[in-house]
Amino acid sequence: MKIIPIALNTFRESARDRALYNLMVFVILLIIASVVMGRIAVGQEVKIVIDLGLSAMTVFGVLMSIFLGIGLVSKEIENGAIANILSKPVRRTEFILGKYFGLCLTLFVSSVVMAAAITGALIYAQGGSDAAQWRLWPAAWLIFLELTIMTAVALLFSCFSSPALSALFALLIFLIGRWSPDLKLFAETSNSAAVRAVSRALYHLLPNLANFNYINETAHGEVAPWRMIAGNTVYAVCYIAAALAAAALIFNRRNFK
Amino acid sequence: MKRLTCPILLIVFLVLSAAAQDWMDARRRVPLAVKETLYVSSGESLKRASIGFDGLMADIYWIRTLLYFGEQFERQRGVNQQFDASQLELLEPLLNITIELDPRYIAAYRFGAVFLPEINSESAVRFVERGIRNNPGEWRLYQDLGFVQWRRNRFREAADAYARGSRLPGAPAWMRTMPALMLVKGGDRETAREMFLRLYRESDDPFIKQISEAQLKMLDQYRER
Amino acid sequence: MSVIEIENLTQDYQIGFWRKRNVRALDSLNLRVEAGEVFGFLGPNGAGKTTTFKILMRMLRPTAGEARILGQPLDDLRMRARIGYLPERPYFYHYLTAREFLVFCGALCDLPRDRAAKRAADLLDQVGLSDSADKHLRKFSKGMLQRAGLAQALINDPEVLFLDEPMSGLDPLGRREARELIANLRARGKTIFFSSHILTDVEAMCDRVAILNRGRLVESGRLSEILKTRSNEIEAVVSGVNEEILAELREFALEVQPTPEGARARLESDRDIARLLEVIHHANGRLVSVNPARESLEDFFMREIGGMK
Repeated sequence: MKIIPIALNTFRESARDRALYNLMVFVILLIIASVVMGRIAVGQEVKIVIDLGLSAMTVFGVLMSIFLGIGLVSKEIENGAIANILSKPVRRTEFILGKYFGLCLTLFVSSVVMAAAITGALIYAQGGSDAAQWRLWPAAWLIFLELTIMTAVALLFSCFSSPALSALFALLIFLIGRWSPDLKLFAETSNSAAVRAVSRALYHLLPNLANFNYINETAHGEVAPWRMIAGNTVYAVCYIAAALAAAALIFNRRNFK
Repeated sequence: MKRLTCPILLIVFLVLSAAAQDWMDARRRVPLAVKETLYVSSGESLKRASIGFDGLMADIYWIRTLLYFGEQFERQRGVNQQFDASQLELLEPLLNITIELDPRYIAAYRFGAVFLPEINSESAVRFVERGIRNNPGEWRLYQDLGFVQWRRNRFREAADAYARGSRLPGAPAWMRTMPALMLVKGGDRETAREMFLRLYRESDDPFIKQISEAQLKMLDQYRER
Repeated sequence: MSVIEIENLTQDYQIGFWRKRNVRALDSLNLRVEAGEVFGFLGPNGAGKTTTFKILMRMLRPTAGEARILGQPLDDLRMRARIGYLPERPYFYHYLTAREFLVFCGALCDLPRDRAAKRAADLLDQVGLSDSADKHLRKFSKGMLQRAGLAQALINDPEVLFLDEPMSGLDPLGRREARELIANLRARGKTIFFSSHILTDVEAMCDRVAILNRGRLVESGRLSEILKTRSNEIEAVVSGVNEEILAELREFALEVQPTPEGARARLESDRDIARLLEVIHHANGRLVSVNPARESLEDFFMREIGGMK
């Protein structure tokens, strides 16, 4: 299996990318700023720190997974590094999977860093340890799952379209995925059987990202129930597997001029 | 066989993810869309967040309003076999967000004029009056306001609304008969008679002449009694 | 068994966005490279050399025809572990050091980590990069990248080497070193398939060549067979001669070309050498060299490919 060396190398690439550090610094500054904002909104400190922290984590994480996810394959094709890899005893599928898991590792590490920063901000804001500081970790796990789904989607698009178009598609998928409950309502309430069938198919075909948004509930003191966490994890794993199978299917047939 | 591995995996996992989705949906009591709506309660802040796409955002919230209405309608019919609009607690906030995003969303005001009175007639009046303030040239909103006032038996206010609307360009002729009609309903027969008489004399419209004549006859019959 | 077998290999590209049309980059190429050979793959830019390499390296799926390496189909992973490849435009991960890059390539070839590290150090020494082993590749010059590329192609001690333009980007010293490296690999029994448009390199190293133009094979075989020897003609180079002597030479030579040092004369046969010596000694000139006249690859290119245009 060549997946592991390729994944580790991909992780090393992002670990040596200065842009990523700048982004992380920015997010952490934002989290620190949330403490100040929390001070202004008396009595709402915890809610504001969690809201702003987890939202920033989502937004920057999604941008990272889309843009780095697209670069995973398209950059290698563009600069010709793929020629070197394919001449070696490596399956194309192994290349795709290695690249994907490498970026997931990067996302995992940066998610942990961001969640730790939010926890730190809460400890400071609350002047000690509190249950709220643990509540945010299940929500952060859900955000991480959302990021891995978006990475798989971005990777899939980059296997058959240009980087700019892939970014556009992936952003659209993100927006629609976040509106998936509306799609479901639409599927259930439309009068036309055809519309119902199409929106139901879309509901299952597009990633259901609203599932992974537990920020507001967390900010209001709820803990994501383990059943929900488990269900979402299973859903994410299945959806990612399907997206990667599609990516491999396309990538295996592709020619590199 | 090898060539089929990817397609087979693709289909299997897609089906599994759909199954996981359905499993979770079955376990959720409150629809997600509704929860989310509650979270954003101010159209003003949403307007800022929509970075200039507030028209589009208003469209989205209008569609959400209709979807919410449709969903509640289906659900209530499934449970009670009848529809009770007074249970639509999110209808007003959804409509408010829509018109705050786009103050000229006439369809939203008119929808509110029909259904909000069942929840709270005071706020229905405020809602439609807000529409008139934002769109003073839209005669239909006066008609809606008149109707809302009529339903709460405020005939004088209703007459006033119809009268103001009937003077606007584009307002149909029958709007002019409405103030007098309202006064009849409210029992102020003398003023009503005067108004119908004036209408009968001044109007060239045969339809209005016909209605005024019929009403005058009816009022005369009351008088003779 | 041939090490590389190419049969009727054809590659079409589609170009144009709205009205697609086919461009044939490679047209029914047939080639066999035997074990232990250094095989030169020649042709002007755009002849289809890189396309052939891309097919052999699984970057492109051929429109028609097939190829085998070491008797195996191109997708065979065990065969892949026994070959090495230097791409035409070597780009490698610039965030890695040369050593890290080689170890990574070793891992892709299933080399255990410690053996890959040992092999990387040896190869960096062989290609003259041991001083820059821990520098990031982003700081490498084109020539250094080419050397690093050569090293990665050798990481798994391959039986067959595919080198796409291995000499491009190298300075004269680097070229000589690369030539020595290739000679050394050949002495160890490796098969080497390389492309070039620099003819002197090819003349110096190759057992056999194939010449490609516009996707078609123009000629293949031993260099001595391809390049015509012109019957018995002799080429002599002389120095320290004046105009008078040149005029005398022109009386019997087929062709006399003045050079900065003296002149180059083409003689009909070796019988004329005595007369040439007589003439130049008379004028205190010097004979520099006498060779049987042979067509150079440049001449061949001009004749065959220039004529086709």
